[in-house]
Amino acid sequence: MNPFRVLGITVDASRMEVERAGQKLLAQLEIGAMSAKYVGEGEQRVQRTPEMVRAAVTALRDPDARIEAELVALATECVLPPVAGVSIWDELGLGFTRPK
Amino acid sequence: MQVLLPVIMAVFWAVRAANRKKSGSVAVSAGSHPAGTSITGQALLRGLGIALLPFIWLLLLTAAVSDPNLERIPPLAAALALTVLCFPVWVAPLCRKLPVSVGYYLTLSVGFNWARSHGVAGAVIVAARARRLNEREGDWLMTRLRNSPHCHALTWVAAGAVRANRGDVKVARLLFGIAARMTPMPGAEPARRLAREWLIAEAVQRGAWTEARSWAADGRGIHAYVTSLGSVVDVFATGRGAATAARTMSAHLRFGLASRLRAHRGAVPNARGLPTAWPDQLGRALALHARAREGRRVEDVQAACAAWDDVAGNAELGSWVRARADTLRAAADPLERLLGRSIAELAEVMWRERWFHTGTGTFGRVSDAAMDRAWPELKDRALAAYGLAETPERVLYAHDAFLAWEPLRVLAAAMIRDRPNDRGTIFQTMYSGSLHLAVVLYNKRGFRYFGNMVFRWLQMEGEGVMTDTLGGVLAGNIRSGI
Repeated sequence: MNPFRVLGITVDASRMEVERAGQKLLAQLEIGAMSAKYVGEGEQRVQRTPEMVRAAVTALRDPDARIEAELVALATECVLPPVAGVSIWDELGLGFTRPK
Repeated sequence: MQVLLPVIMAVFWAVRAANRKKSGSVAVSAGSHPAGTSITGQALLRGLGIALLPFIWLLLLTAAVSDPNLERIPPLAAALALTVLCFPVWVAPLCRKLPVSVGYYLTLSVGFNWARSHGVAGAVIVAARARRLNEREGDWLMTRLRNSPHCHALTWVAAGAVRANRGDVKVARLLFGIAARMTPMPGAEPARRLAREWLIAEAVQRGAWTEARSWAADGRGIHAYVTSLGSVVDVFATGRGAATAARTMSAHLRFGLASRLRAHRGAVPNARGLPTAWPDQLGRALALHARAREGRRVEDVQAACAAWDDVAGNAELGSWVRARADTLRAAADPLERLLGRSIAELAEVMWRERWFHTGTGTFGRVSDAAMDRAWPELKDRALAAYGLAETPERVLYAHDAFLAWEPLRVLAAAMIRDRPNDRGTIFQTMYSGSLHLAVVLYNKRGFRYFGNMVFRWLQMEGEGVMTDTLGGVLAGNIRSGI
């Protein structure tokens, strides 16, 4: 998961804001606060763990990893068309076996 | 008639004795010529056949027509057959082709059980045509293939048919592809046609229209039909090529398929409306990459590779990354690292699924730095194939060796095509392991065909970049018949 999403901060967060967000989440997880237990919504909701938070802070400390995380966070979410499952060949009834 | 028949028999045995004396062998197998028979001798025999056969046939027909007694018809038919056998050199090419197509249908009509046959050639043709094998028949056929040191196109088709029937479509696609691309040999054309038909049908079922049309390039029979289908698909997908579709398809095909193709338009990659802004391009690349990692379709991997190429070529994105790197004082180029890791992951998917249809320009637009990051991943995969050379007993038969080596060869060919400046580096990586693999398998398992294929490929790809010593070794191996 993207480090910015794990920490719940924006892409333009400063280094100080990253450290502060990490420490806050670790403290909340330690006391079992429900507001910090999950990240994401709907089908993409996952449980936030202290290890995830520490890994996110470590990644954002590295300039190369931070830029990569910023790229992914800024990328527009793209919805691809579904993969077609019906073969025209079967409809035409030319007798070829559908590979399993 | 009673006079002609002994004359015909005498001529038959005389000509046959002359053929045996010159060739030194009893049987002339398909695809070979009698050893020792000079060109002059063959031309003489052929000329004799052309000159005498019609004369003999005319005599026999005249005798049959002049005699109203129907009891003479069977001897007449026997005499006609014997005259055909009198001149095997002249009719041998025709006889070689007939059994493959006519024999198959005859065996089906009489319920012939090919599993009890000792003829592998006929068995593989029947197996490929049948497309459905039970467990016992599949095991029998694979055993026969393992015991055969030859790698004729028929054996590739048979191996592919068995794999396809067992559900291993990806390996079957590879084996059929090899048979379809093999150099034409006498007797191999039916096998190549079978392989191409299967590849076309399988590609169409996956919605891989480009791939299907590439296999149907010769434009005959079923191939022309698939080419026509592909033209119609282009019309509905992109709005272009209507004139081409109209030229290549008949009216009933065009209107009859129109409604079905509209329902399946989602299966065709949309060539319009590709994003140009870098957040949209990057998002599309990430989405395609996630789909490609599942490894279900080669088209997803192709689309992901093309999407990453677009990302690498986006100048606005490059400027943004450079500005951020300066601000954060990044040591390396994060965009190159992302591209390299993505390309390596796609290469891993291709290797795992045995796909290497990377297309033109897939690796070409990725920078050297990104490819340097992908190379370790690709080299690890290459070295894994060479492990077979250390344990040749794991190689059951020549097809196993080829299946392990072929993805490596296709990968190297794609890399050399897209990155011609790296040809020397790519060849150096490939040559040592390939050479060792081929030599070990030849010395310990007698895989002459596999060795010859590897040596010829190395000789072709290493032209201009390999040392004279290596070139001499390869040429010597090829000359000695390995």
